[in-house]
Amino acid sequence: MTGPTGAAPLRVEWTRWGRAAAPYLLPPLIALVLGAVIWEAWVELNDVSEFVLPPPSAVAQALFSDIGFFAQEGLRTFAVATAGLAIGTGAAILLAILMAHSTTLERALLPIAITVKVTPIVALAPLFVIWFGFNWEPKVAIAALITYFPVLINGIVGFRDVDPGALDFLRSLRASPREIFLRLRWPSALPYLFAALKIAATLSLIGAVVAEFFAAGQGGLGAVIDEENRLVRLDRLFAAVVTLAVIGVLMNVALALAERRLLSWHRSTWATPG
Amino acid sequence: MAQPTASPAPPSAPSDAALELSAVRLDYGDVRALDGIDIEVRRGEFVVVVGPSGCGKTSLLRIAAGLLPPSGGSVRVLGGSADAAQAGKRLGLVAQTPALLPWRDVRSNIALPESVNRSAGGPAAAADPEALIRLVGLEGFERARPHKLSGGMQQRVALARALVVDPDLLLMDEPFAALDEITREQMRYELLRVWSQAPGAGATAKTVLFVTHSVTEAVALADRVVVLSPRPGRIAAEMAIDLPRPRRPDDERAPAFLDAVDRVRALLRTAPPEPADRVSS
Repeated sequence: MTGPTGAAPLRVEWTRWGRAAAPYLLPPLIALVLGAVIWEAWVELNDVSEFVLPPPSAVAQALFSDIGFFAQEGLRTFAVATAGLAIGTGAAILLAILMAHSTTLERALLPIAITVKVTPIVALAPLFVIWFGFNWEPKVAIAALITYFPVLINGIVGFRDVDPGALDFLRSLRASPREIFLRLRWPSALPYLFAALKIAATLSLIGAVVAEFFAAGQGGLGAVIDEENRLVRLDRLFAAVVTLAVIGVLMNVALALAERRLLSWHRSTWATPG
Repeated sequence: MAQPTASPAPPSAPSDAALELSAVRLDYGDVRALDGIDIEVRRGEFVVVVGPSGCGKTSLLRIAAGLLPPSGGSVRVLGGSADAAQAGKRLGLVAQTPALLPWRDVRSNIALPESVNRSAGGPAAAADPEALIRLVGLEGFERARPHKLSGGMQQRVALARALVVDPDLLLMDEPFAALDEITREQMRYELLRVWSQAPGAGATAKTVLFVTHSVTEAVALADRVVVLSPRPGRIAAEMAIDLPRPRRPDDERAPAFLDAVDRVRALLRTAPPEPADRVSS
């Protein structure tokens, strides 16, 4: 294939992607810019000290003057968060499948799941460092622990909330439980699982950052925030927070795009609110 | 009228009953929902159970489909147990809601029965899905998802989905109750056309047990109407409908049709409700 003919479809592809992503990217960007303007004006007008609240311009300068560093630390945090999200979500889905099929199992396991959930993550984090060492393991474990709960709860409901008529129909053909799960329960649960995943994605970042506070050896945005706080370099602290926010938004955009693709049959994706 | 066979048939001769319910009883806790149900549906026969809401019609149908175990009595489906009929994919179920899978298009919804319980013996998936799509009038909508279809079209898909395994017994639970009146009347005669033309129908049409609260619908469809009394559901009366086939929408204005409707109405009125009937222990 020659150059020009190869380039044209690529551009079309990008335009289409931009058009698909714009409704997700533009509103938060506009809100963000508006917030920054108000913040800047407020700091400027009230003459707030930069040791109390740096203006967004200072934060932006701190961020872009050391963008490589923040990107690298951000990637570390992102890796921990995604690994935790994958493990926490996977475990929660497996548990939810078991609990959706057996009320006895649900009664046995749900109180334990709630107990683990209500235990403050900051109380567990030092313990996890003792148990799993100072590397990535305790961080991923904490991110997983903080993400499993919404997925578990939504999963139990999702796997059970199937059309009773469709269930009757499949049973009248003696479909096996496995067939009923694959043909009916799993697709029925997907809207619930996506809703939970969006919550869990944000939580996984919080989990990763909290974990990095306690196991600071490997860096990450949590360690950066902790250190800059101690050094009272608030512009760099905020730059780390902004990096974190960008990662969170990107994760949610990715999930929203995947959801739109996979759940085009579901009324939640037809999106005409109001 | 159904003639209960008093003398047992010779064991070698296959029973000509597609469905035999005898003395079927159903209790929900200490509330009796169905009592003393004796229904025999012969092969090729179209039997309609008519009764008011809450008389246990749906429960009756789910018992026949093997989806709900009765509290007493015996159920024989196609000469065996309801379980065996399920396992052999010999039942076709159509419910009040289309109960289609919203993530599958029309063709894929109709193909659903083929994709489950593949070990079933017998003539599984004997019907050609494409021919069924034409039969129920859905050409051009093969790739449409259910939410793009009207209620009537969704029920056509549900009907085709039930027919794709070429069932020996079609069980229909108020399939047109959720439709508007115009569509409902149209679907009645569509069903009769499909019933007489469905693949595998051959010399004898398919056996149907159809449940409804509409007297007109019952008379228009049935070879025989079974009238159910409410709370607990009991068989109040049976009536053969001798109107000639094929039946057409215009026949509903014929004196013979209106007369049959009046007689079924009268049977429903004389079926007394028995309030607060409890199981005596």
